[in-house]
Amino acid sequence: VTIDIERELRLAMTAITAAASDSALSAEAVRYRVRQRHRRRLVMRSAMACGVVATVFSVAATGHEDADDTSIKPMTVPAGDRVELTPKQPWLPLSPLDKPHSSTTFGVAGRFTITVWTSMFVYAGNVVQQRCVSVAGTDPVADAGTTNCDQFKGKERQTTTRATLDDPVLGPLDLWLWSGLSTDVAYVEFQDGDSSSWEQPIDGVVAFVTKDRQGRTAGVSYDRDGNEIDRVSPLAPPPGGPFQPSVNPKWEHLSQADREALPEIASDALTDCLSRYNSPDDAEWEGCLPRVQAAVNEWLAARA
Amino acid sequence: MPTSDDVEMAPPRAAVARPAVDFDQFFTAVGPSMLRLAVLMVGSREVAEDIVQESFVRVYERWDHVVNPGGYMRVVVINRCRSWHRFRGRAHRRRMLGDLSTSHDDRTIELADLLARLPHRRRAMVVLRFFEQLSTREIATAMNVSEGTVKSTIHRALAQLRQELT
Repeated sequence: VTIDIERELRLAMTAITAAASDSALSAEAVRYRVRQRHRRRLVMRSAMACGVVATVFSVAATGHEDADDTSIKPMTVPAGDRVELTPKQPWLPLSPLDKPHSSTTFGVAGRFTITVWTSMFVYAGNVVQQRCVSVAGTDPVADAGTTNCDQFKGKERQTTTRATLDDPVLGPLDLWLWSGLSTDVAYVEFQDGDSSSWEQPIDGVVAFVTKDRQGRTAGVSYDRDGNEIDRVSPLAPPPGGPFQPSVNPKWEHLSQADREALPEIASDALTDCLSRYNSPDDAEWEGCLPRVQAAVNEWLAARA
Repeated sequence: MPTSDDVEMAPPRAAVARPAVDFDQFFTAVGPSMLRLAVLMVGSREVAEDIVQESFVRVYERWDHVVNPGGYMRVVVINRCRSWHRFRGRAHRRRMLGDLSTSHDDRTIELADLLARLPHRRRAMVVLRFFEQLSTREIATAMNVSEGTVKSTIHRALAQLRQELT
């Protein structure tokens, strides 16, 4: 039996909306709501202003440290010189991710530009965070041309990457990059031949320019108290192994059509989550994971 | 900080001139069609009225900055319907089908049920295409996606509806 689905849809939609023409909507009611909202905003802003003033006085009175600085800082003194990643204005090459995502761009030693894209995908009813790291040479140095998309959640997937570019002044430069670090990591010490340095990660990534060409490099990640978390070197590859997906039991009973629709549910929830954060960092993204998973679970439960 | 509405489609700003339309005229012109759109998206007249009213509030607040109030209003309505579905949609869908059963034939009720089961994006595109009669390009602009995505999403939605009707 052939169904003219478009015609049937038009007829059904016309029938469903037939009774909606005599509405109680009025432009005056809209203006009334706007006035109410403005009043509420005024009250809230006044309350917030009072709160800000009270906080300023309280911080000044107690001589408290910078209250906005919530990043994890090491309590111990790491070995070697500190190297800093330089946050840059978003320079956004074409994203390798065809879905909602956030991105952060930072520079290393004024020569390399690193962009981190963070997103999620749904695998068999489970939400998994996905991250891509792109390494490029800073203009006008030639593009180092490496993009690496890894799938990981927490510490399940860590990778190291090497990239080389030919600097016309300094000659060949090598970059050593460790991605997929967990949010517990406060800093990473990098052993480069006979010298060492340390760095604080951005978006789970640390990167060092290395001079050692004999593979005598090693990285050790530490928490803020100086406890070792992970260690990588040519002899000890990143921990975690390959991505190990699990299957949500509720997903197994879905129809094919529902399975195809599921990514859209996750994508919408992710868009919502992204729109709440101007500059997502790891902690906020980790907050998005359960939100998106909850939306997916609710949708799966409705079809159980 | 942007809201989800901003992300979906930010209103075109300032300098571009738009036809001098009074808000009351705009309200009268688009109100009924927006209500029908919302009814199809959420399945409840009562909820649809609230969503449309709130959407008008948003447009009114940005009236001086929006170049295309009709297009912007449509996007706001669709986004609010999506938010509503996310938090309260399931329970209301059952009630809606109860309301429909007294006034419509079985086929309409079946289609309304299937339409309500579609994920937000598919449902929105189907309604915009076959009820609002928008072109693929207009839908792509309204939903901030590519025309290819619109075509494939509508194709999948129709296939899903066709399969479940047989």
